[in-house]
Amino acid sequence: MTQSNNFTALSACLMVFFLMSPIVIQSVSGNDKYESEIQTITKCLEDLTSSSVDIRKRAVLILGKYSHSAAKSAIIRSLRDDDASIRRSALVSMTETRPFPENSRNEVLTMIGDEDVHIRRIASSYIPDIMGFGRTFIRIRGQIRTHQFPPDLQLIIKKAFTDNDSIVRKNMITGYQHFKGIIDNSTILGLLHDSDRDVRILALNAISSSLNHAEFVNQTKFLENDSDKTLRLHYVKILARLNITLTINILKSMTDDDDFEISTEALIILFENNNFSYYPELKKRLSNHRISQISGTKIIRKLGFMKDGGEAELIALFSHKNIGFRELALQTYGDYFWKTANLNLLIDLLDDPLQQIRSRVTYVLLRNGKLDMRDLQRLSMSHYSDIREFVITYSKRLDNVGAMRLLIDLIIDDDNSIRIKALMEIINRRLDNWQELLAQTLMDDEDEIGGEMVRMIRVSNNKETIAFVRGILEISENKKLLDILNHHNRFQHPAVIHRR
Amino acid sequence: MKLNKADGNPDNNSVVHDITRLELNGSRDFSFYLKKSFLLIIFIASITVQSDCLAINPVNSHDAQRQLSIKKSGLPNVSIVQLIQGKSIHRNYPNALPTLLSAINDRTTVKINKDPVIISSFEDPIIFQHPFIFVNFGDRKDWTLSEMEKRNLRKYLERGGFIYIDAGINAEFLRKNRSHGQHHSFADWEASPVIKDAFKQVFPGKKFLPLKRTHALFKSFYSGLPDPGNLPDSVRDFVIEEKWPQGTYSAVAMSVKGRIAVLATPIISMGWGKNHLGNWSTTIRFRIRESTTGLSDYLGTAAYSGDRYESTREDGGRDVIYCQNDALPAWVNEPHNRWRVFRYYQSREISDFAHVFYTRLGTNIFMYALTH
Repeated sequence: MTQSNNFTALSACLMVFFLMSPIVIQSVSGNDKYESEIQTITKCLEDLTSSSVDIRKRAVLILGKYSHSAAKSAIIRSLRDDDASIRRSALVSMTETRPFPENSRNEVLTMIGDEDVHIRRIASSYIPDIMGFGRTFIRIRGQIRTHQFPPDLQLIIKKAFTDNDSIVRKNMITGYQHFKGIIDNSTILGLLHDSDRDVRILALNAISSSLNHAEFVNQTKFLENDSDKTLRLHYVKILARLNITLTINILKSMTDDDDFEISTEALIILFENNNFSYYPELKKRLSNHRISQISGTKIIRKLGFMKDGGEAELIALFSHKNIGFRELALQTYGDYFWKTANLNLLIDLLDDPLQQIRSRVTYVLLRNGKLDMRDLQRLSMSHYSDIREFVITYSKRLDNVGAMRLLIDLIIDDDNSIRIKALMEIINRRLDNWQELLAQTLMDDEDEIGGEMVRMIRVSNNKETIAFVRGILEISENKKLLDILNHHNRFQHPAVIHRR
Repeated sequence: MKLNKADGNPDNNSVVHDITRLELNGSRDFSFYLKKSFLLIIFIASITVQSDCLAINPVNSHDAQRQLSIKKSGLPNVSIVQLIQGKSIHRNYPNALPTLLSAINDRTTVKINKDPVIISSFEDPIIFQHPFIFVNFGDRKDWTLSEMEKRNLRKYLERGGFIYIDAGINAEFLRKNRSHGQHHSFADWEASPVIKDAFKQVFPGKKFLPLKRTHALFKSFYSGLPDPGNLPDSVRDFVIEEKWPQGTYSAVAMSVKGRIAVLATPIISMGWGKNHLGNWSTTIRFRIRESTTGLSDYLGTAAYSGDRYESTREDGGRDVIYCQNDALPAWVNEPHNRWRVFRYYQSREISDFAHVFYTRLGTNIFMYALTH
């Protein structure tokens, strides 16, 4: 199409408009070398009337750089240029000065039917931008309606869903929500048979939100045999969200899938829906290096709900080669079977070289609360400081006599932090001889421990204890510790307690 | 020198970051890790030769991908360290590194832990247990290095460590706003001044130098570009000839003891991440340079509303870039008074191509670092 006449008249009008406009934008640089924005745009508008493709293209390239409404309008008009390279150039220019002008929506959508495949691809990829993210409908007099399109544009949109280019088809399905009013489900269902895997996946996503569960299962069950693994995996994950009574047969069939990930996913969904007979197979898979941490997590957590044998299966996992699974098994055991926990087994696990395993075990033991004094005394001699610390924590559950029996040994622990924590526990509970023990620590022990003790006592804000400590320090004239007690160094970072 | 917090004491309560470390159970000196890394490197090197043959245009074929998947057994034995200053939840492109590591795991014979070990500064001694540190320039707000960091970095890099700083090249027009460097991968051939200053304190005599297009890093696993057949012709030609010729990229490197120890590029991790459905998390537009007859007659005097910047070209020449408004380069005056317009192409095939390219480039960087 030739636009010479229209453009000549238009550019003349624009010149008049510019000259009369009070807001005349001058060159930013203030340098006479550069034109004003209006001068540059006017030159380009005149060029758009040229019969030369090169000159029109130059004009479109430059106009795309300006957000002035005259430049934008000219770009929109250039979408109808006879030459495909100009149309493509204009289309690309549309994105440079966002947002898209409201009046350009239909113009851009029309490009989805262009003869040039690259134009169709670019135009269809703009759908989310020109339609607006999430703006799938409009309200008219309180009624919700989908976007309205002129009949000729509706035809272009419908045709684009079956475009011979797979990229255009993908773009169209991605923007399907905007066209629900004119595209029926049968079009999307047809795309489930598309030759392109990604188109099929996108169609599957689109249709899963359009049909009710029963209809969805009915219309898509053939996908369990799709040739593409990614699609089948995607399909089984969608099935996981649906009612199991509708999907159970498909899932059972998919447990035989050649692909490890897909069959495992199907097994897990069945297992999660209380089909515990699938556990022996899943148990084997937990030892397979291909199983993901997420899948393993789902299986192990579900064992907590398995009344018959779940506890034994979790215990079996305590020695699993996958450390993450061991941790998870212990956590699940602690969450669901803490009341009946096997204490001897757990105590043995406290010798595990991994701290996070020991930590999980102590969680179960604390929750269970049935350790006897002999076990606790043995644990207070553990070569792991976190276990000795656990004993201090556990002593809170004991009466004063029992607690003192444990803590008295720990106040001479090799680890300064354990000594301090044990002593603080004695002080806080006012156990026998707490004053004597505290005085001895402050007077005899190294300043590092004394300093940390004083800090903790100050933080505890117990007036009686603070008064007692102040008395001791004044007698011993320990100015350094007194300073700490008197907040003189409150903003200093507490000294690091080194372990011996 | 003891580099492990454990100090050989079973009382070690420090947080154990990963499986590799768990297996150590006690102190190891750096030579232990070097030996371990050396054995690993020999192993990887032996398979990389084969991988080059396998990697010929495998990108667009799902069948090819399936054939290429390599069966491996056992636990991952290489972990990557990622530096994030502040809360890790605020890091840029959170899916990026795990997705790339996953792709490396799937496509190469390296058994790599998909979850990076997070550190908040180079003071963390755990860096000495891992051969590779990844940093997105934007994930560290303040690049002033502490004395301990300088010491650690010097030791780390002298003893074989590798640091990759993504977005460590930041063209001048991107420096006003921190987020710009995260979204624009503008080809420049100079490290960001902040990075240069930081590493000047670590190695005063060393400089970042541009990496030649012929460098082995660009061919360490994948060679060449993904299939550009789907791209519009103007985009395709620019990409093949100028943007990423033979699958290369603008990069600068600092060498230590004759090998690349620190590498910086414009942002590429924006192209790595996938969401839980396996779709790319970002949409990437291409900035290409286009010309047409008589462009210089107009652009030499055309109005521009933004700033005017200079950037270094690969050959050391200078481009003068004119912007409209915020950091959006509009046109460029290249050496010999050649004028071209920047064009921003957005389309699915372009974005997909960019993602595949960036993933291949990321793989090449990691594979190069692990084998050299």
